[in-house]
Amino acid sequence: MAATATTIDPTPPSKAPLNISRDAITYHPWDPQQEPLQLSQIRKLISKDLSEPYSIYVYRYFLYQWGDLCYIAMHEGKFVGCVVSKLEPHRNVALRGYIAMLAVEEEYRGLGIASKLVRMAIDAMIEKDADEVALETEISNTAAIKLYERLGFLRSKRLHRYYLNGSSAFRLILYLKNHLPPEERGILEDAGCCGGHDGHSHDHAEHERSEQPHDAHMIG
Amino acid sequence: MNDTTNGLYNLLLWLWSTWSNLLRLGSQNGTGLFSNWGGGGGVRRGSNGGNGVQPKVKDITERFLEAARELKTGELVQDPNFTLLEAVGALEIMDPKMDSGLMEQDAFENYDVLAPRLPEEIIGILDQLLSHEVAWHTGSALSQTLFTSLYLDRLLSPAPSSLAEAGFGKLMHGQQIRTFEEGLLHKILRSYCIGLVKCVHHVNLQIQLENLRTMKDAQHSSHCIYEEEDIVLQTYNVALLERIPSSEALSLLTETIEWLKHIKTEIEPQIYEALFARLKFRRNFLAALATPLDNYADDKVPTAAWTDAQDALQVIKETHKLGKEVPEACTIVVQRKLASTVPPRPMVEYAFEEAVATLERMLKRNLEALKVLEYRGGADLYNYFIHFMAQNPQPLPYTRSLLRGLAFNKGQFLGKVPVKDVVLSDINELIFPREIVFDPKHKEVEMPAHPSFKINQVTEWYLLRASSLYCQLFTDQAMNRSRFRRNLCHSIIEWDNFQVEAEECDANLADLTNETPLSKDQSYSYVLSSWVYLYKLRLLEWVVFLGFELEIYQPYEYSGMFWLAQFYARARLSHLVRISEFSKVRTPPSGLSREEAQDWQKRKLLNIALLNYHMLDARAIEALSSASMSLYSVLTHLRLIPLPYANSYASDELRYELRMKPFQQVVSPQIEPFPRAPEECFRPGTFRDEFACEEDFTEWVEQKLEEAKVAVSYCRLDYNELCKMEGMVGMGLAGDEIKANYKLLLRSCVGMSLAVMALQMAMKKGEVAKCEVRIDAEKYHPFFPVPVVSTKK
Repeated sequence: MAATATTIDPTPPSKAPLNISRDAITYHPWDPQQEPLQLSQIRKLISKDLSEPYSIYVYRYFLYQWGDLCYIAMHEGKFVGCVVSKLEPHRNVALRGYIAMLAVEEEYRGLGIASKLVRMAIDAMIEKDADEVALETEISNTAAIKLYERLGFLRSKRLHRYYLNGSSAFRLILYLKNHLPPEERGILEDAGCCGGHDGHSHDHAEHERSEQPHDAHMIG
Repeated sequence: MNDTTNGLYNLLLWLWSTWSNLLRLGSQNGTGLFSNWGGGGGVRRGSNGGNGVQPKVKDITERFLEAARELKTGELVQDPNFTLLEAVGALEIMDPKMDSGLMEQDAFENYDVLAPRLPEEIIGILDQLLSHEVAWHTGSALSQTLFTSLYLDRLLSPAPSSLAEAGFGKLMHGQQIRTFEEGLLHKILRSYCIGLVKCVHHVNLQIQLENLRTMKDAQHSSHCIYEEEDIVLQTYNVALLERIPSSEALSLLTETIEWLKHIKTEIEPQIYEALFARLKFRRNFLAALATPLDNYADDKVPTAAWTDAQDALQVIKETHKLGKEVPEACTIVVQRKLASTVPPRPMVEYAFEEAVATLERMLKRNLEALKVLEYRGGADLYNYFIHFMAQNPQPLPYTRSLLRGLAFNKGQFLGKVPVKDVVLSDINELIFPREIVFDPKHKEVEMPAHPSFKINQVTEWYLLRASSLYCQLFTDQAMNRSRFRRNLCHSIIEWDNFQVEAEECDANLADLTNETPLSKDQSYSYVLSSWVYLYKLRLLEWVVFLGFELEIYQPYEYSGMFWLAQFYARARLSHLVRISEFSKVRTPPSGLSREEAQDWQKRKLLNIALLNYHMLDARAIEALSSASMSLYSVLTHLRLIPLPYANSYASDELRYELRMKPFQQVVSPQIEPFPRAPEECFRPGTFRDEFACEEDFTEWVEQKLEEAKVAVSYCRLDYNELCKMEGMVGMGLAGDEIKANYKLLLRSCVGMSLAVMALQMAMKKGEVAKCEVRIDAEKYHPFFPVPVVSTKK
């Protein structure tokens, strides 16, 4: 079953935007203590833009395990945006961050909230020594694609009819570190593979086959 | 957790402190944890009843609640086997957005399938079914398309086991149809629906068989084609009249057609024509789909059925306006009944005009696919497949599986030629190896120490491995373009490994056959690995170019990707030159009769002609890629296309590493590491800053534009020549498509050349700042999107 990953269109709304100062938006890490209140709000925010609903497990899957990679944007006590992510070893080769959900309340779009949230998530991933960040987005969601491309993501592949509604996706990847050993990067011609390398561990055999052709059809 | 809850824990996998949600639902139904939650995963009381043994039931609801109370809100007990995929697949019962059981039943219960319908309404219903059928062919689920039809629902539930049982009710059991009105429903609509369901069944079956075959052939199961992303084979446990033979469904359609003819005079002529065409279409469509692929190989090709279906479709298109829609005959509420674990999903609206256009294309291509039966050798087959699969829009999954199934049937090509013979014919056409290498007489030698025995051993091993990769290449091509590119990224590694192994074989063969090296550089022909390398280079080019087709690159990456394309095309060109050097000096083996010698000369000439053709092709691709590389490089550094955002997390080096990942793993030809990669192509943001002064930069721009101009003028000549080429080897089956492709390349060529001229003019006038660039991928070759340069008003 193909899952519907969420990247919410961050284009400015067509109606005149509210007169909101960017400074009035505050950003907060996810607080597990506030879960009963916050989870339902996050759910409401995200499911609004989804054609098909996620069960509560999906939210909990991320928030319980990677709550520290989730951030919330608020305005005058109101939830106006959030980002939900995770960070896991990917095929034992790289520590891969993943942006699972990103949502901004419609009338708050165009204020850079989505970018700020994603940056916060990526910064937290870097803090935790992530090698790369990945996500999927609908190919027609040009605003979301632009947002991520401005942050440095590249489209790495196209996924045919990835979403349940039949639309295709791009997988976007951002490398945060070199994945190749120095001698393959042309900088240390004669060094041993991992000589002088910045603690990045890898398995040579796995380098060869780091990506299997079968893309798991899930948000991950 | 204690033991009792452990059991539950395994059963439910996840336990949340907010179980209250689910528990509340349970109590709303007046039951505890043993309630039947329908659909997925619930515990069913006495589900193993039936066999007379009373199951022992122990109510653990209270203990479960007790354990749940001990968890804090937000606390999670997670089984490691419960993955995100399962979380996404989970449904919340009683949530109206997720629980199909909560759908309103009214629509379902209020529609009377037995109610008399006007002939116009029957036409409307038939056309709606046709739209749904095409929507299914293009990737939508049956639950959102055909299965929403209340007529199909009535026909298929409960699963009829014979034709007599398959109907809408009443009048089913041999009762006479007296009036046209009754016949509309119980003859026309019924037989059409039965034919339609059989069509779905055959398509489903063909694709599943093809999936099984490819999985068997493929080295890893992920190469199985047509997954859910292409077509949804799920039937939700609804039987598609499997027990009714297609011959009976066909006879029924024929009978209905005869009946209609019989009462022709009672019906308005236009209505008659419309109904007749729909029945005729269904009968022929089914007849064609029901023909087993094995029959094709025995020359029992259903060409007439396909063409008759085409004719009938024209009439359907023209008479569609007579129909009257009956929207209430379809409802998604049917999803309540389907054995499905997904939330309710909306009905797919597929416009009739679009459905007919898609179907017309499908019929045409199904006929075209039959051309493969006229196989004339490896080069021909290769070209035919490439151009067939590259059509836009891509052929439907059924058509792709038909072509692949026809080509590689039962491990043999066309069901009769061993694949290794096809590979051998391809090697002979492309490489023209010395006769001694593949001499069939080697097989007759049984002495292990004899060179012939050893030669045969080497070539047999090689052909076996080559056949498997060769088959895989055609299977990969039959996939959707996105997956095709992804699979190619993996295939190139396999071809790369195989090349190393083949080189060993070649070294052995040079020894065993006492090969005389070419005098000039003492090199040996390396025929086996030559063939492998040639294919690998083609695949590498494809991976690069498909990235353009699939819009994977951003404009500032274009110059780099074209650099890579010209790098591989150049490698292919020099490899072809090397092959032809060996081929040209070949002399006929001794002891040939006059006729045999003539035949040998002919084959040699054909080989040289084929190599010349490929060299021309490679040279043109190389030139066009070089021109595009220079042009896009200039556009990037003149800041006429958007640069990567400066304030980002990426760097040129990291981007290079990520983009080159599929290519970096290939041993030969090896791509340069980042520090040695051309800066103008891979440092979009900073390259310009390296110039000491503006004059130097201007000079560089002018030089690059001049280079682009020269390259583009060369490839224009090449493409003009290629467009005119007639009767080449390998152009037998796909001659027209090959030419159309060259014309499109020529168009890209002309487009690039216009862009170069416009920029040169702007440079001369000092008006670069006024230029605007739009990239057009629509009107040109999908591998070569063209920058359209205009001046701001």
